[in-house]
Amino acid sequence: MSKPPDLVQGTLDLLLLKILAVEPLHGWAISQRLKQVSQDDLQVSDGSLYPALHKLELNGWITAEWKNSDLGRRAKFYSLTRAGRRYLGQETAEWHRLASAISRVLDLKEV
Amino acid sequence: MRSRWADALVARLKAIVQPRRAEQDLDDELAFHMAMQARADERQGLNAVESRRRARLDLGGVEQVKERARDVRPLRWAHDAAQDARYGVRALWKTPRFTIAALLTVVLGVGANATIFSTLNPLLFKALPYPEPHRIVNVFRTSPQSQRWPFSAASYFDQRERNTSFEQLTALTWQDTSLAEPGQPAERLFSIRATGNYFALFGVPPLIGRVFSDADDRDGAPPVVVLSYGFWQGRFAGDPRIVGRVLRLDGQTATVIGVMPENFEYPLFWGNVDLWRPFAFPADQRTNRGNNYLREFARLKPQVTFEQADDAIKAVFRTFLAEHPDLDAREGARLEPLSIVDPTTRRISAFAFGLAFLVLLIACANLANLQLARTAARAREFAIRGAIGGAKERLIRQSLTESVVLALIGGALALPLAYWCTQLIARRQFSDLPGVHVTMDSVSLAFAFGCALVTGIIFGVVPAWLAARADVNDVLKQNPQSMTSGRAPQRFRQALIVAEIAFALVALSGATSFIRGLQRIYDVDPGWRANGVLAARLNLVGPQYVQAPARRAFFEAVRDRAAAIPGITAVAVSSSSVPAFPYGTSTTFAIEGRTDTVVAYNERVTPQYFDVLRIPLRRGRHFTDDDRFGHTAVMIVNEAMATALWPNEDPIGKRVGFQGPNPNWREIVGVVGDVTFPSFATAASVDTAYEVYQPLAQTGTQAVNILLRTTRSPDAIAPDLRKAVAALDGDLPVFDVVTARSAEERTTARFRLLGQVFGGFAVLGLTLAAIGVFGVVSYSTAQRSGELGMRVALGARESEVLWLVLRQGVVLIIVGAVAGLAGGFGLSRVLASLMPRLPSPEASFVFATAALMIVVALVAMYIPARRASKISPMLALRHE
Repeated sequence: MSKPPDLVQGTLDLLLLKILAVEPLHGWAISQRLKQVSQDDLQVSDGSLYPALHKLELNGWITAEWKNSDLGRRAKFYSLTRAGRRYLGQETAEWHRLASAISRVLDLKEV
Repeated sequence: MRSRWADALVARLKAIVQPRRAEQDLDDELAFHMAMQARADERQGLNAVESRRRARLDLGGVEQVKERARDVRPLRWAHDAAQDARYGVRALWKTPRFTIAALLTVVLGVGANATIFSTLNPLLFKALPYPEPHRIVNVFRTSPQSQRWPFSAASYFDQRERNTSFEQLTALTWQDTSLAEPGQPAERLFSIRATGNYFALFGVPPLIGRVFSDADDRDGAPPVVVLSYGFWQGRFAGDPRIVGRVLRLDGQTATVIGVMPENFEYPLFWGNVDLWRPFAFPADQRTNRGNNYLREFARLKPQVTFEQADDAIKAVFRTFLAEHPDLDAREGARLEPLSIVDPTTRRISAFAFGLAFLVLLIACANLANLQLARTAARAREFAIRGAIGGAKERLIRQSLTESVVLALIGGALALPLAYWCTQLIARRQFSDLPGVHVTMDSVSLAFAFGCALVTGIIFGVVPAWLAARADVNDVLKQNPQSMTSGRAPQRFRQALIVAEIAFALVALSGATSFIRGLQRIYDVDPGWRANGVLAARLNLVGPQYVQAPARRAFFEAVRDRAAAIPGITAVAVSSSSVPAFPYGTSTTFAIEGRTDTVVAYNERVTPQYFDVLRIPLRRGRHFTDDDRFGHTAVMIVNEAMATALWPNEDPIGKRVGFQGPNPNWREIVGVVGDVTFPSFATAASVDTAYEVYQPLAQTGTQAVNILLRTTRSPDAIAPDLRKAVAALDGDLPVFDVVTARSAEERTTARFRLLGQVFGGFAVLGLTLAAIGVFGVVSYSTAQRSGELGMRVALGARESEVLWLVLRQGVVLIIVGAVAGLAGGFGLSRVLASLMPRLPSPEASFVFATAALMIVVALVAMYIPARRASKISPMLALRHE
């Protein structure tokens, strides 16, 4: 099995925001969701996850709240702010633009 | 709705103000993560231990994650710095000897600089409190003799008319004015007489009422007066209805039209000013070209640069000279930027700053040395920390934080010292300048801490860099007790010793040159004898003294009355006080039969003047009572003038007169000895060695100085003198009754104090350098104790060990001394250019200073070296 590719700088933020756009989640759930949705093609080390979440929080894209989890233990739940949602929209559009541009280049016919 | 910025701000503030909470959250969050992971793994059938291991593995190490999470927090650097600082304080606490030595050094170095800065800040760096002060300039007349001469009224009006680069050009003069109110003793006031545009030029509106303008400055306009804030408060208790009040000034009435705000009178610049009056020049004054007594100030037009304006005034002057062939063609004009103090004070102050800075440099070198010794001792710690991944930058930062913390603590401790010194200097140097607040203000505080900070950075970064550079293997291979730091730090330390000795010697020789120069000035024979002479002043003002005969009658009457006081052996009346200060007037004289003119002090005296002051007669005769109005006009000149103008001729019988069409020739009847003024640093003094005396009975003076030679105690004479004057005219205040001796001391006090301050710097520099040498030699002998002990054990004699230790140091001292001598020589050149009239010290004196430095350094080196030579071999060997 080949090693999953490293995430492009900044894309982790995009993924996290997108996951949180669906519903507020705590860190561990986010990590699980990431693995599950990307079908293990994208592997984010949990070591990168928390610093990335804290940075998003400090930037005001997401907020955090301590709530009881389904296990009855208190967990830190992250949810998207309004500004985060807007930012996600912009970034998503940007990503599509970039991705399609790269695809167009890669689709060039070789002689 | 909360914006993103508000969210971000709240999140950041939380992280900053609740760092513990943030840590706790992080712990909890990661613990929760691990618990969840472990549960998930358990479900898959892994045992608890294995699952926790995998959870940690997956996370990549809890501490690492925490560290990375902390990195994204705001103010991470501040957090680190605080940690470094805490660590630094702990480290300093653990090495008290180093800490005390270093603190003492910082306190002395920063204290000296903060004191000098606080003292000189108001003099050098504050702008005058007027709008756009950079556009205000001094205008001076120049000649081969001086660069700072006043103008005549005619010249002023010519310039005002022709100059195109000035928005305003004002002329003014300082005057004593007498205020006489019915039923009260007359008071003497300090006043400025100025042209109508004076206030417009300086641009400050009055506090109450109005200021005078060109309309008030016309001959025949109703006399008006503007009061200073201090005078208004002090004399009229701040009476709000003062405007419109009529005062009797010099026997004439003048109406008060306004009061200036407090900050306008800047005593440091203007001297004491009680009131301002317009000139209202009479017609004959406006065209007078011979009487040069006006100081000029100009305000440049907004777009005009200083250089353009300077060129313009020079051009104006050239046209004048072309139009007036009778004027001295070598004269010119120049502008000078407005500054609170005169250039010489400025230069002396800069010199003081330079010395203070040298002391700071020595302090820095000392501290760098101490820190180097300490970091060398910690080289092992550094090397190991470096080996296990501590970043070098982080280590340097740690060391730097430590030294900055130390320097800042030292800076804080230096403040009380600097405050105390500043107060002391302010009391002694500036107590006669009311309104000048020489004290530590926020700017000097900032300066002191800036100094401390720079010191901390300089002495922290270099040693840390050297230590961080050390090779791990080398350091670790060495025995910790006998460890010597590598070659580079050792070189650096030697360079520091050389630099310290050199700087200290430069400071020492600079200070001693100055002090020695002052001493030589005092040693110069002043040409008169102050002992037993008492001086007093009064102003001859009032309508009854307007006519010259009345004034002459008064001079004679006051002289005769004073002579009648018991214990008085000789009395003279003169236009200036005792020559502890330069004579008050100087005049441009023309010489009969020659085209050039000379500037000479112009003193008007009664015949006994030369007896009272014991000024020796060289040729011809003194004045007599027959040299009066209607008889031949006569004068006496000093030797310097006589020999310069008539080198091979008899000056007696030559004639000297005023510049211009109407010279009023006077015949020289005598030549007297030169009177020298200790005036090398006073702004007011005129640059000339020529002195002319004229009989008071043939001339006149408004300021009357009574000089008495007495056999009784001068203090006992004063009341008798007041009584004698009061008997003549109750309206005339007698003031400034001083002995000539104390007048002399007053002029020299400032320089004595400066000498003491400079001497203090020299001692400080010397002490710091000695401490530095002592510290380094102690340290290096301690490091070599094993080697030295071995030598003793193998039979080396005490003297051999002593020489071994001293040898290296002696070379450093000599190199430092040579460099210091060279630097000191350079500094003496600088001093000579700053103060050309300060005599330079003798060569033997300079070498004696160097010898002193060498002896002090040798002693500082000998003490630890001797201790090392007495080392017990057993003790030393046990170190290995």
